[in-house]
Amino acid sequence: MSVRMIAFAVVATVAAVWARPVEAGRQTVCLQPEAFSGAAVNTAVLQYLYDGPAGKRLSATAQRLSRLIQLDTLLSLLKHESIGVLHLEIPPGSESQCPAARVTEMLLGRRPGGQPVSPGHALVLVGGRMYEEQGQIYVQSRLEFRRRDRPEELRLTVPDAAGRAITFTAGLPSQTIAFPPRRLTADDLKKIEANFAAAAVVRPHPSDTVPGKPLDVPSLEEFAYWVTDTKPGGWMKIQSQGSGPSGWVRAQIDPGLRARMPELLLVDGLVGYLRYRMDREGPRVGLPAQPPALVRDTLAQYLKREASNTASEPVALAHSLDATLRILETGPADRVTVPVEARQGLTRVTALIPYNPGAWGLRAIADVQACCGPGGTTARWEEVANTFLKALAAGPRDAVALANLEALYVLLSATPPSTPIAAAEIQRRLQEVRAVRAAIRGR
Amino acid sequence: MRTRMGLAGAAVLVTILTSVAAHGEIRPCPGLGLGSPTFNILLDDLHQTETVKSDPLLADFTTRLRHALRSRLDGLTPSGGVVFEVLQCGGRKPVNASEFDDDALVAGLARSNVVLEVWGVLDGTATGGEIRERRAAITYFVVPVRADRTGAERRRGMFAVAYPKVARSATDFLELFEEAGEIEAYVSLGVGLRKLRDGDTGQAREYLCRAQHLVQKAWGTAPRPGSQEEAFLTYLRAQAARALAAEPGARLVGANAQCPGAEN
Repeated sequence: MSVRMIAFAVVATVAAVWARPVEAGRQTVCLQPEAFSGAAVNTAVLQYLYDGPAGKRLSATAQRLSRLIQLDTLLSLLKHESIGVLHLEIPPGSESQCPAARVTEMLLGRRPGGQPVSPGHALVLVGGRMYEEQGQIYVQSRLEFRRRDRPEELRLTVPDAAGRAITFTAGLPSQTIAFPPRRLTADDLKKIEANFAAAAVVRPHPSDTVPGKPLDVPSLEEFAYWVTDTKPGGWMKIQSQGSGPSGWVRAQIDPGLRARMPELLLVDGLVGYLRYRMDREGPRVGLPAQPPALVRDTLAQYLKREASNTASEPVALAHSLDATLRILETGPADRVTVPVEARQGLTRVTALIPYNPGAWGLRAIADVQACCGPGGTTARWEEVANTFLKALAAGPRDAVALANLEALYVLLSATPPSTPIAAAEIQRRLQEVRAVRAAIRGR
Repeated sequence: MRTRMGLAGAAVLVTILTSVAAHGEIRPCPGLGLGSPTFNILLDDLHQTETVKSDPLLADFTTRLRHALRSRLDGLTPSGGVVFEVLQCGGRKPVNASEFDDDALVAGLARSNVVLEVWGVLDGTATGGEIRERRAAITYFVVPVRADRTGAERRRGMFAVAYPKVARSATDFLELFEEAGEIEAYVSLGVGLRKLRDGDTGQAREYLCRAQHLVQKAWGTAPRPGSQEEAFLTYLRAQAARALAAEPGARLVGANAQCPGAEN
């Protein structure tokens, strides 16, 4: 059997989730991408595109980089439970038919072809470009994530004076991110590959002292594996779907690849974030997600690595995920509050990407409780309104900012005003926002 | 810092440009067609002075630079489904901004959706047969600025930058472009102006605000009063204001509202 892709599924309650385990061995190419329908989060690594001069080819080592990324992703995501990791191969000559946006659409069921993720389940697509010159490999990654049929948003509810709940909603600043280019040497990659191969030994029992067979990276290109069980200490039991060895492997991440491509840490944190949100909001799949504090630790590691870089958008995303988790951790959906650390994090986001309307919108809704909720006295309503207006100054048609601004004035108009002038001003502003929304709808 | 960049940069440009031919060649760029669905960036063949021609790192340099530019421009892609293509224009070698003083040439570029053309000269100092002090004089031609006929003043859309911006020794010419944060700014400006021309004022505003932030970040400090940079920033602000003024949301934020983060 010539299966040129590897597909992994990591599940704890295998029988319940994987009704058709043979799916794990199905060939998946970008033209017909096939997700694991039972996995809570599918992480798809779309083969990195070669961006060099015509007639030149990537070295064998560089060609295997996207598989190393997949292997790192698999091993690091094991802890999150109920994860599918795919490698989507781009057949020669099909590059123009497999842009990341189109593959994402197919995997989300918005475009025919392949097997999409299940409704409410999440997709993380990683891909990028690669170029090689004189032993140096330049690689640039791109990340996109979505939950199928579900917006990625934060909802905060604030009661007005009459006890009616006023809801504020904002999304993350961006769900498609390009990372800065990285430079690796061929020697770096060979070492990383060797470390993975040395660590990945298939043993009959979950113990380092039991002799086993190596599961080297080249052999991974030939087989598909299905993970049937896990044990503490990072052990996973793999079942070969081809002629490869089956048994126990200890998931050990080689730090070398993450040191050179810190974006893998962000992917790790993002998957933890998505798993946590699915646990809270459904559909629940498999065992509970990791506690958000551990996910935030991974995001903090990413932020530490990127501290000296100029990667504004990815760093802003990491801060946004961290702040959202901090808010969600405070309670059930209708009773979350906003810790000071979350507000500080979102202020950093607007400093990093002040041109992004979504960044201002997210920061503003996090400030609403502080100005206008019960006992909220640490912010003035005018400041919060101005933050929403900054979202509109950057993106004048930002529908989310307009809806939130209207909600803010509705909330304030039901609150006893500090002065008659303030009451009149709030009414004037409320009418104006409604007029602008109507004008935009009428266009 | 700003003064140092402006004056020192200009001096280096003059030195380098006088060492190459007075006129280059503006051949058609292979692969560039009319009505292109992508926003295009043209990467011309950069002149290499006699001093640096023997640099082994210049083999495939344009290809490497193209890869670097494509990678960086991917960072601009997420907003609004805009797609960029960086075209390598083999044999196209302008050396003088006046070579672009041809309305037909500029109209053709605009029709082909070109937002930026990058051209210039690579130079260095040789010591003992080894090339040191690599430097580049790059001009960014933002085509939609030239095509913008609003206002009394015709703008050339040419922005010259000398690298390195501060004295340092680069072991490869590509390193010089790592500090070229203005590239994303000029591309955002180009896209913003095109969106403005097409009446998509909401998106235009977003790109023009992004351009303001990126260019100020690339400069590092506020422009000196009366400098070209200050004039450029004034122009950018005016275009962002034009975009906002056409939007109903201007009633809420004020027609003269600055882009967030670019108020100063």
